[in-house]
Parts: sequence; C-alpha cells; structure tokens
Amino acid sequence: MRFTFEKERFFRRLAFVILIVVTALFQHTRGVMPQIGAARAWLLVPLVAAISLRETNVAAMLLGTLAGLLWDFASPSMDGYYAILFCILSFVTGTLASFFLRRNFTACLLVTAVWLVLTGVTHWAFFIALGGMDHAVHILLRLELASCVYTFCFTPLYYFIVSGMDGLFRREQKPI
Amino acid sequence: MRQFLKSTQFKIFVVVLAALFGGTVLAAVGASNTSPWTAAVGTAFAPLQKLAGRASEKVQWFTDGFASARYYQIENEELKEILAEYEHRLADYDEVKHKVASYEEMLGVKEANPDFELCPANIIGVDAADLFSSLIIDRGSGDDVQVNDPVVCGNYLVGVVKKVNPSYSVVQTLLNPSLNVSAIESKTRETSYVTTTALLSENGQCMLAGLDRLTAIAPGGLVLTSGIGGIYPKGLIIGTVAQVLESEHDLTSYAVIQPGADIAGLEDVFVITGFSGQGVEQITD
Repeated sequence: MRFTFEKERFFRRLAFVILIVVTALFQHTRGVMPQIGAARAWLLVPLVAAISLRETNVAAMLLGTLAGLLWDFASPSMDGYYAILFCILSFVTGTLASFFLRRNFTACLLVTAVWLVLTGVTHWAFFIALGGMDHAVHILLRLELASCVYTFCFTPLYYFIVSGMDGLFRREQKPI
Repeated sequence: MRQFLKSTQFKIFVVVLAALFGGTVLAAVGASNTSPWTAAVGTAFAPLQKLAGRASEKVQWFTDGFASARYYQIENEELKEILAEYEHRLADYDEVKHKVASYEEMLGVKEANPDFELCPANIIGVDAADLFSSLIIDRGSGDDVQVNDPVVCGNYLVGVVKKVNPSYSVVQTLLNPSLNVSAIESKTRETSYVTTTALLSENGQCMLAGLDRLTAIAPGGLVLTSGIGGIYPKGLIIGTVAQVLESEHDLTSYAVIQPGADIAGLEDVFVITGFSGQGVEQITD
C-alpha cells in the first residue's frame, strides 16, 4: 500500500514524535542506560540532531522543541532551558541542511558533536560556572564533557534509526 | 539573508521562541517553577514515565537472576567479609542496641511528630543531565505538594521539592551543591549548614560546613536538621559524620557526612506537605 506525499510526511513525523518520547523515557528512567563513571547518556541530543538533518527547518524546530520540553520535564534547572536551546539548534540545523549541509553520516557526526558540546558547555556555563559552584572545571571535564563523549557513541545508532524511518516514509516525491 | 529573515519560516521560529521565553519567564515568577508548556507536555508524559519506571524495576529484578558464576563467586567472598564484620559487631550488640534505642527516642518517627502531613510518592525518573541526582516523583500540586516541601525516606532527609506540576514534581537531593540545610550535630549540639561540593557529590557524600577549627565533632556523630529557616522540620536525620577535615579556603573545618538515605537506590519517599512551623523562620539565641 502506497501513501500520498502528505500522508507519508504525516506518518514520518508521527514516527519521529514516538521515537522522541521513547528516547526521553529511556533517558529519564533509572537503570535503563548504564552510567559510566559520572558520564550519563543524553540520548535526546543525537536523536534530535539526526532528525533535524532530515526535516524542514520548521518541522525540525517543532520536534526539537518537543524533545526540549520532555527534557525540561525532568530537569530541576530553569524551566524552558532545554526547549529554547533545542528550538534554536534544530531550526539552525534544519536551515543549514536545506541550503548547505549534506544529509549524510559525516554531517550527522559533525552536527551531533557540535550539539553535544553546546549542550554541555551552555549547561555548565549557566548553571555551574555562573552559579558560582565550587570545582567548576572539574565538573566541566569529568561530568559534562565525559557525558558528551559517552553520548556521542550513540550517534551512529540514531543516525541509522532516523534514516531508516525517513526512507520508510519518504517514497513519494513532493508534488510540484 | 534579508529574504530569509522575512520568510514565513523565520517568523514562525521567532513566534515559537518568544512563546518559550514567555513560558520561562512565567516559570521564574510563578510559585511552581514550571512553565505552562512543560506543564502541558509533562502532564501527558508523567504517566508514561511512571510506567517506564515500574517496568525498569521489574526488568532489573528479572535480569539479576542471570548473573554469571564469577559474579556469584565474588559476591560470596564479599558476603563472607560482611559476615565476619557482623560477627565482630555482634560483640557490641548490646551497646549498639542501646544507641539505636536512644536515637529512636531522640529522633522519633512519625508518632513523635504528629504535626507532619506526609504524602507517599514513588520515584519515577531522573534527569540525565543533572549531575547531582535529582529525582522525579509521581506527586504534584494535585496532592498538595509545593515547592520547598521536604522529601524524606523514613527519618532520613532526601532533599527538597524544586519544581511542581499537577501530577509530578522534581526533587533536588542532598547531593546537589546548591542545596543548603541548616543542621545540628546531635552530640556536640554545634549548628551550621549542610551542603556539598561536586567532588563529595560524586562519592554520594555531603558536608557540614563552616565549623570552628577546634570543633568537637567526631566521626560517627549524627547530623540532624535544626529546623532553622522553616523549610525543614527539626530532627530529621541527614547522615553520620564520616570524617572531619580542615578547609583549604579559610580557617574553618567541615565534617564529611554520609547521608542516611541511600539516594541512588531509593524507590519510594515521603513528601512532608505540612508541619508545625513550616515557613516560619526560627531565631536562635
């Protein structure tokens, strides 16, 4: 059974929404993702980075905002922080993907790396360094950047899941 | 570029971003620390998170049965060591029993605190990005939970409610350096405040900071909430003193505390939604 372009687009985005919700559950549920030392897996970052490369900038922004809100749900930090961060990053990535970036594995690795560093460093800057917390550099190196490196290992997995879904629901060409 | 800035897509982006900023401002000025957007998404997501938390516990219990023989060998050796330690401790049983009885008498449980209004809650999740073990519980403003309500496990203090939604709340634990709890050491009656640092937090410890260099506090002492400030009721156990060290930054000492509550292994907690003196700042002489 073949769907029209609009139906395929709808189902593709619905699948992405489900994937974001499931990933958020994985990220927030204790004992699901192993913690290596102090490093934790921020699974939503590689997922939304991969989705943003595959979607238009507005759709990417909305999906990124949803992921950010799901992260804010669990966060004791300033409410809305992740939603705003992901909204901006998704829109910029979606726009770059429309004009400059290729939608391939290398681009996904690059984009995810940038996202992870920005997520870790901005979180550290706003809530640790500006908050005047002791041992700020230790936190940056041992906790934030370690989490970035650990999370980066999940990039190939999410790239192939997202491209698989994208291929499954993108057979029809956009009508002219 | 100018054409892009005038495009519909960019206008949508600006509108969404403005709405998110508006929500953040509302969260900052509101009593619940929650934006309407997070509240909406969280209300729908919290039941799923609760299910996932329960499923995770079941899976953990199931997979424990598949441990390897080598694992059991190591565990056996560890248990033998623990047994030897317990045999040694048995010799001092009477003394320990007496101590426990006196602790119980001194600290009490709920019977000794009839003014406590307790709300039982399950831990349904954690924040992966929070490096200091914040917890998500399945009780919110619909259960009379409010920001700054203390969270306990038995007589042990776990933390404080940081963010409240209708159906869930986020708890900041004792392992968060931004949390300060006014405290008293039970034996010496020295008062100060309990906080932590990133280094101590990594080891699951906190500290009684700002003590005199000549403090009489010694390892084994019990640290309790002092009740000053009106956020935490008096007499909750924070933990026991593991060691006393001199500060590297000033002329004070601090006592490293092993929290009484096993924060990493908690499954259920109680939120104290009301107690006598809540919100009233007490003044000591």
